[in-house]
Amino acid sequence: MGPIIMGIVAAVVVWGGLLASIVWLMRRPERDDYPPGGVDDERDDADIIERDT
Amino acid sequence: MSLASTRVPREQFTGQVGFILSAIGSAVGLGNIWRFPGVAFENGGGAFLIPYLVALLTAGIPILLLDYAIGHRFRGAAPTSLRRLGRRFGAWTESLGWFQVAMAFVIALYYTAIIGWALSYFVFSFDLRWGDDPGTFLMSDYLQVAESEGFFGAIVPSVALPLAVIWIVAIVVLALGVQKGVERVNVIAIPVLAATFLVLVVRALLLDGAVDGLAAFLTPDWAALTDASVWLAAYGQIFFSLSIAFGIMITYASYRKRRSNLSGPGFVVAFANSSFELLAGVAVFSTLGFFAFQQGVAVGDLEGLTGIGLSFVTFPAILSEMPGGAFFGVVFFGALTLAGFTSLISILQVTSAAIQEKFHIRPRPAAAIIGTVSAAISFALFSTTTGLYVLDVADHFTNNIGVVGSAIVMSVVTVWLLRRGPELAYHLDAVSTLRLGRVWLVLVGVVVPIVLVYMLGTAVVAIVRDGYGGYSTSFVTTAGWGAIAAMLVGAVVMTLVPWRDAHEIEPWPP
Repeated sequence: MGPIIMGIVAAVVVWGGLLASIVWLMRRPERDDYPPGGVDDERDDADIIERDT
Repeated sequence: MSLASTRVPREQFTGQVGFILSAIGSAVGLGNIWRFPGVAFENGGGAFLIPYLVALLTAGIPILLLDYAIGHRFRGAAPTSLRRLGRRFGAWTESLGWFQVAMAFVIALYYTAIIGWALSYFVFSFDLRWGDDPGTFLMSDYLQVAESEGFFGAIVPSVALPLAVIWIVAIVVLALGVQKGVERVNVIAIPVLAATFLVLVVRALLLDGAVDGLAAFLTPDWAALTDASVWLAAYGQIFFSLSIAFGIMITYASYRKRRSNLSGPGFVVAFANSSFELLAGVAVFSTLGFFAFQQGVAVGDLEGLTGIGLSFVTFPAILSEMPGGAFFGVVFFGALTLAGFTSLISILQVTSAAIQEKFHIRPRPAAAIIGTVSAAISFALFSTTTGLYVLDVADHFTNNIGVVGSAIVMSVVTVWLLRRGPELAYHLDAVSTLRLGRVWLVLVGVVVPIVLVYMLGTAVVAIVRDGYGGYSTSFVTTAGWGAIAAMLVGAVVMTLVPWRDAHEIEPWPP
């Protein structure tokens, strides 16, 4: 297998992998069946008071 | 006023895109540009792709997702998350987190110096200031390297100035927090970096001899696949390239809201990192092909194909001979500076977040404290005539001993000692669109420790048997093993410092 074919294979596998993972993520960016809960910001012990940033 | 009433919400990325770009910004760094092309060339050329992809899928992505799972489930920087992971053994696991923070702290000290060099060379490119002897220019004129290794040489103003610029900008970004600082920088920088890489590739492909360079880069040496050292090199490249196992991805994942997809973005980040590496390989070897063509030698006969030699000696030599070399140099060193800076921000965020949580302070004071202390040490060690020696040894030991050791301990402790692997696998699958199930657990619990123990053993044996870099034993002991020892002591000390607000959380999903 020559360098040209290896170049094509590398491009298809690596950049194809990137493209495939992006397309997969765009089609299903988030789950639509999360377990109950987890809707609070992240701390269970205090309400959100202000944004830090 | 109690701490609970003054507690502010954890910072967050604005969403999936901000997180992904920030994680890519962390992963894509100097190693993508100056390490991958040479490592691939020296380890089978095109055939290297096979162990590289195997390493990506069996170790790189699994450890990346382990970091994501720990940070996302336990909602904190490495010490916080690992303390919560450890439950009644929390003090022990917290110390692992502080060891990771200590590594990030040390890496930031010298990483900043290298970015400062890249910034200098970005400026030098406009008039190709290195002349016709870039090696002498780098070592004698610019770095003014001392004749022998040591610590605390004389300050070199031309190195100190860009170092100061990088530290000031980094501290400002850090002080702005996750959304306005880290995320905003990456959202701007990563598209710019991608465009810059494409410009480099197109320009490089148009050079005489580019085809020969690409042929040297991609011609497969299938016999290399039977060589264990080639596989070790592939795992090493993947491991050091993805910003894993020293707290960055734990910290970044903790800034995602709870209902967030993890594995899908993980694959995007991992393949984006590899895509940048492949682009860098094409650009670097096309350019090396041009240089070999000019010199009338084979690409394999060129010297300085990786690391500092490639970027600051070989490339400037090529730029001096290249038509439009100044433009190419500006783009190349601009990309190097940008790639390094986005990684630096993530490294500093590890320390900043850990300090914020332990001492219950906000991003600005944390940035001021971390930035001031780090910058002072960075100046003292790396803007001097002996800085290059300390940098070389500290980098080798921190990566090959510290980071690899940290990954081994993290996977063994999580999966085998604490038995929290199934919980983390459940967490990943419960929030992700791409479910990996027990495959991920087997990779993290079995494949990763075996490969990394072999890597660590090989590195330790090589150092003990051969020393490192031709330096004196006392210098390697002090700058190398001493740095590791200092990080361990720092980890223990920071663990012993009481938390100002060590509240626990209820992991979700339950």
